[in-house]
Amino acid sequence: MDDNTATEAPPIIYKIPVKGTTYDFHELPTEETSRLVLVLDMAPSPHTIAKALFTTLAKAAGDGVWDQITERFVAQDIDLDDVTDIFRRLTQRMAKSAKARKTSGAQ
Amino acid sequence: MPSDVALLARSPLYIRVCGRDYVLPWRPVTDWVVAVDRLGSLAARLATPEDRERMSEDILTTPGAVEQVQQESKRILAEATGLKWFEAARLLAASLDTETMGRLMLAGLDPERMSVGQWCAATYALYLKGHNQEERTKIQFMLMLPPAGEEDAWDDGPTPDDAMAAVAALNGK
Repeated sequence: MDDNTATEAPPIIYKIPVKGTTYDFHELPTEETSRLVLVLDMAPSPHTIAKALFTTLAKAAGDGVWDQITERFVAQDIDLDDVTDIFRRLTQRMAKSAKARKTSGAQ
Repeated sequence: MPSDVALLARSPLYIRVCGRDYVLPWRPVTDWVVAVDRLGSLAARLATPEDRERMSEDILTTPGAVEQVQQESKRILAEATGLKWFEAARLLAASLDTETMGRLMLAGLDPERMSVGQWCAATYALYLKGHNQEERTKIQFMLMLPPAGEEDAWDDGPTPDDAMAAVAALNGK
């Protein structure tokens, strides 16, 4: 590839609604996504599930987003199912986006 | 086909994930059916609840952990059945077919008491029952055909003569 002509694609922002508010998330690395999927599949305790979701999703959250979500979680405005849903929606969007990139790249 | 020792074993299995050793207690075949559609997490799911907690924390922070669990899952499935992992996974999947499961139940088998090795052997015997040698060879060949990406499994499998005989049988010769 000619480095002079290579351009870096802008980061993709995924807008994920969480009980009335929409937050920005970045793409999660495939490796970290796979690790979190495996941990959720292992059905550990709710404490470990929460820890896994929070530590991984915090890396994908936009500026200040994770602080807001954590505050809502502490205030019990959202629960662990809502946080799990963020991950589910994010991975679905990421898969859809990857598929679209693959399709456009093949053309 | 399955080794007799593996079929009768009730001993625990040992896995190593993220640099830590774990002992998986013996479990009946009902706990192994996850191998049919979620083979990649089998080894982790067979761990005790306490070990799953520790393993989860390690997996989250260890690059390559997912591949390690996948490899250990395949290894223990092979070890517990005396088969190649994909042969065991195919037999487990086949046993979940309604008619096959019905026949296994009518034969008096209790999946809560049987090992995964015994269950696979029973399913294997059921599929071979009533077939002539040529048909048996076809079934055996379909069972031992490695999936995509696992072609190296041929290396410790049938000899070239076995494979040629199986291909001839598939062609009806």
